[in-house]
Amino acid sequence: MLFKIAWKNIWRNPVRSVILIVAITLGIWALIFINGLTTGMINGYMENAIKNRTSHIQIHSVEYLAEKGIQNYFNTSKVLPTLKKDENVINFSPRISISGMISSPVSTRGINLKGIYPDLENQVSELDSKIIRGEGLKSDLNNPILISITLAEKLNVKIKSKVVVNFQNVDGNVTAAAFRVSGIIQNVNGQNDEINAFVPINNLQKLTDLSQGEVHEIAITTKDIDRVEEFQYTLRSKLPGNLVIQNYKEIAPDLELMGSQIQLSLSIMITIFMLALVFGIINTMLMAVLERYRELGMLMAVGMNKAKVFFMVVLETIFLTFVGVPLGMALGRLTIFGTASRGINLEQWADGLNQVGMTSVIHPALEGKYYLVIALSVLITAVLASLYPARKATSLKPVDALRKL
Amino acid sequence: MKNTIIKTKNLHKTYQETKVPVHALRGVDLEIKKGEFTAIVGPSGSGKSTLLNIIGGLDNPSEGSIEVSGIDITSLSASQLIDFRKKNIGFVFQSYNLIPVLTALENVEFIMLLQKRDKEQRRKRAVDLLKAVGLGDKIHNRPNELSGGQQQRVAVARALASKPSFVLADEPTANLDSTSTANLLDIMENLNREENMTFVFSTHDQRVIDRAHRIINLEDGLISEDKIVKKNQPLSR
Repeated sequence: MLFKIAWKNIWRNPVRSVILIVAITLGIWALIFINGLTTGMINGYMENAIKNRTSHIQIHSVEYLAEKGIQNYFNTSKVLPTLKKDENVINFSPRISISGMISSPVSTRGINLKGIYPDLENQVSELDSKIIRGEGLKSDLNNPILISITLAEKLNVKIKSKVVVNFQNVDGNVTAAAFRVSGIIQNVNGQNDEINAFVPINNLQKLTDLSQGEVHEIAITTKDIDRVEEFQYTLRSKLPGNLVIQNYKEIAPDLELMGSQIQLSLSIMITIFMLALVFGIINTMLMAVLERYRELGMLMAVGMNKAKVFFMVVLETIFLTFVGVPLGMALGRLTIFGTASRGINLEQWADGLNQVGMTSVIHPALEGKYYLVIALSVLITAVLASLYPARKATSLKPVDALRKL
Repeated sequence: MKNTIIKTKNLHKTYQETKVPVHALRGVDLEIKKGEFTAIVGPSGSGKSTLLNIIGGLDNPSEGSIEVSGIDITSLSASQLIDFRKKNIGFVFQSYNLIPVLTALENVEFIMLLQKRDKEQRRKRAVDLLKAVGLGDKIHNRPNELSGGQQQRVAVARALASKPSFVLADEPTANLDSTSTANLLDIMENLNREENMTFVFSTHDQRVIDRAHRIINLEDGLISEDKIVKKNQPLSR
């Protein structure tokens, strides 16, 4: 009957209870949605960075990591056969990567010139999909080059415009080569993309006097990103010792930093919500207790012990929460479900988001365990918040309460 | 005195809530026997409610002793007192104090639930008691669907549900009209005669005083008069 009384008690003042239930529902919905949105943002940021910047694994020579000079290349002859045989490797793209200066008639800019095999690169970073004007490196143009939209604007060049790139060749001599802009690519990874320019690897090998198979890095995508460290370890044992195999977290520590910063912001938001919930519940339950001061006094007078009175108040809070939690969870799940596949389009802020390496379409996602974590957190918070009103209820003296008759 | 249910000796109660102490009781010696139908009367502030609260184990005396059913209740801890009240004392309050979300039947059953009686036993006794107080047809009504008199009758049934040694009623008719008061007093008097249930009222309602078998007059925290006005009469069938 205690359960029945507690349940009925919460409906004595339906407006007040409904307000608290709605607050809990909306709070949980907001928590789930913001959590899902944040997870989607982190996922998007990671995918974006992995696709455009780090891939899953990269191989460099030890020397190249110490100094990114053209002379610090390595030969792929002992690497590619291993990669081709490994069933964990989905795609790989060998690259020449050198610094240079690109010039147009109006401006000169520093760039990171990458010599790539267009087909292989496309499989790793989907480079062609980012072309917004012109075409890829299979163009009929002589010495084609792909540059970013930002760079094109700064250089004031268009498709088929001629640009000159100055760089060192493998002997340390400065050399220059003219390229025709075959395509312009969208920046999808902030400043990193802005300074990247791509040319066919064969052309760059000739211009830099690097031989066939001499590259600065190999980018690899693996079958399972969650087991990338395991794969990295295995690969290390199979490749020559002068090569460094790094996973995406090692290549770009900012990925984890970004993730942890967003998680921190989220934790702060969750804490604020929980605090608001605590005060909401304390307020509601205190009102409920003080309104029933006489009645509680009577219950204690006729023999209801303090433990039962305490439990009844806690139970009322749990009931209120139990109504709000599933509603909020259902609403949150529906929102995540409804927006996950289509994504939330933040096209308006695309430039800003791209600048920090985020995609403009966010696909909210939330693992099942987080729903449980949120539900349990709210429930525990509610129970903790009910302790004060419950304590207040049990601290009354029946004789004082009854004197209020 | 094997029939003595309540015995107080030199009972004092002083409230120190302000700088000036208020002496609510100033040495009350009282003995109430099983089956008495007693009214404690006196003007406001004479100490009626204080005496009732102390007898009911809701308040502690500043001095003196009080035995209820042979137990010195001042020696009991707070939790023992709650248990003691649950088993020994039935309360009827001026404002009925029913649980508004429960029906009349559930209100009466609730006390027995606290005593952990089984469901069937609870239900049967609650129905019987409600019938006894003339509310057999209102058992499923909630307090807000009952008149003041009916609510107070439910409160009487509730007070009796736990089979207490005695019933304490603090101004039970204060909020009732004449008809309801007469009905309630009939019921309580019948229970007194039929079941030899002891009733102790605090009141200044003349209608109650007229029906009491013993009248204890309190003035300024002291018993000024204690008289038996009617002998308890066994119910003639």
